[in-house]
Amino acid sequence: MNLSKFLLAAGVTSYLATPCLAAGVSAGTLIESTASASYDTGAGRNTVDSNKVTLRIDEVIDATLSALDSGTVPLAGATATLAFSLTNTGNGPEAFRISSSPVAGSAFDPVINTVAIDSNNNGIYDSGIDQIVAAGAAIPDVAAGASMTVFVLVAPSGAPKDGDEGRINIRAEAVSGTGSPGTALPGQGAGGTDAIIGSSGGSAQITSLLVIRSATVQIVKSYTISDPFGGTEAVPGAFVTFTLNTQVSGSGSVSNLVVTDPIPAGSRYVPGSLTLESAPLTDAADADNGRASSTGIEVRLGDLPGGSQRAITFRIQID
Amino acid sequence: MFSASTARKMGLCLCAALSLGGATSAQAQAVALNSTVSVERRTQTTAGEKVEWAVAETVVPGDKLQFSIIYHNETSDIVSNFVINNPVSANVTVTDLAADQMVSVDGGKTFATLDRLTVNGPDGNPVPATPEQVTHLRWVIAAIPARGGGEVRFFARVR
Repeated sequence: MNLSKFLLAAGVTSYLATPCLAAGVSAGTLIESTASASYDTGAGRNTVDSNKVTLRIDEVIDATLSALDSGTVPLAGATATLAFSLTNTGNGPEAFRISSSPVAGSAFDPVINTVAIDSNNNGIYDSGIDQIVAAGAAIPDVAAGASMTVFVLVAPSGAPKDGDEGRINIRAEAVSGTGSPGTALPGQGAGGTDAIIGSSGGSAQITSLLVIRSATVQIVKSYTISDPFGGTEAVPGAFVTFTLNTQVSGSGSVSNLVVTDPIPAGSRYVPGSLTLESAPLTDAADADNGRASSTGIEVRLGDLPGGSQRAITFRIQID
Repeated sequence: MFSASTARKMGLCLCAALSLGGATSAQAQAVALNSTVSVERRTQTTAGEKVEWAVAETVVPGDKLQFSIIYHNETSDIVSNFVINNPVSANVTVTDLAADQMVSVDGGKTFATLDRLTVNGPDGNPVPATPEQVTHLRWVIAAIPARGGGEVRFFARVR
């Protein structure tokens, strides 16, 4: 380590005291200075040039990471997508690795499922389009002063309950190196320059808060009987009206909810008796959400938020 | 290496007894001109912050630089109308300009103190020039006595 390197490493505060210079002059650039002078002697006017002094600009490794999601991110289903803007605030191209760590006090720990970059720059994670970054691999070089949108798909670990909150610390680390600000990394900079760890330490991190948004479905089945004798006995020839009261509870929602019920043995479906919320549904498999046959009924309730309920009724006749 | 207090004295300082160990001249010039550059390094000590000017080959954006130009009259005759020009690298911005420092903001065509210079603004009308726009520095020294010399300095920050 020569004297200048030593002073560079010791001069930590000069980097901290420096105002944030986004990017700055590119790593590897030379600063050159030559003075010239002209003057009179008894022999007339003369000019003289000084020697040229040259300084090379080293690469400063710096980054910031900011969340593009506003507030708490709902985790409904298998994964939630977190979006971040990763900015290379250094002055050379730099690749970064994304990692995560748990945060104490979380009701559950979200874990990284997938890391991807916004290949088509639309700000939305597009499965099958946006480039997936293999586990442990680095995201491609980010140019000096440039930003890249990074998606981190997280999954819950354990068996969290609806409403549980979990924090995850997402970290981006420069591949060239990280460390205390001012640390010199000989030869690690762009174009063979030395790299200097900037005020960020060569990494950036941010904590995201997720909340479990799940929903449960409960179906309460009840019936009324009307026998041929004006009573309520389950005798041959009696009609039974079933009510399937479907209730969705929780802070999340369910999607593509389909309710089916077979026709009990020893009975026959009464054609045209299927209703949803008191409105009739045709038996045929057609545009409406229900169908029914001698084997059973099926009603597609679709997407329902927690707190909704739907009543389905149909009738059978006991053989 | 200069002490911090000396280093803060900007501009012209005539020092007749200055040693010129590093000065070189390819031809038999009456005046030798030698440029050096050093970098400000701040360190925390128990006595507070210590500022040093270090010789360095590499710098990073934001670093403060001190350029020094040492001149010496090699002859036993007086040299007069001595004018030093120093182009400013586009990768640095001059700082700590003395009020009487002659500068150019047009590539060395015209020189004046910065407060008297303008550049064309976005609307085409002249606006006051700023240190970021300085392209050249100039010092005018009426005469250098026989075997005399001196030093001029300027400060700059890496963009």
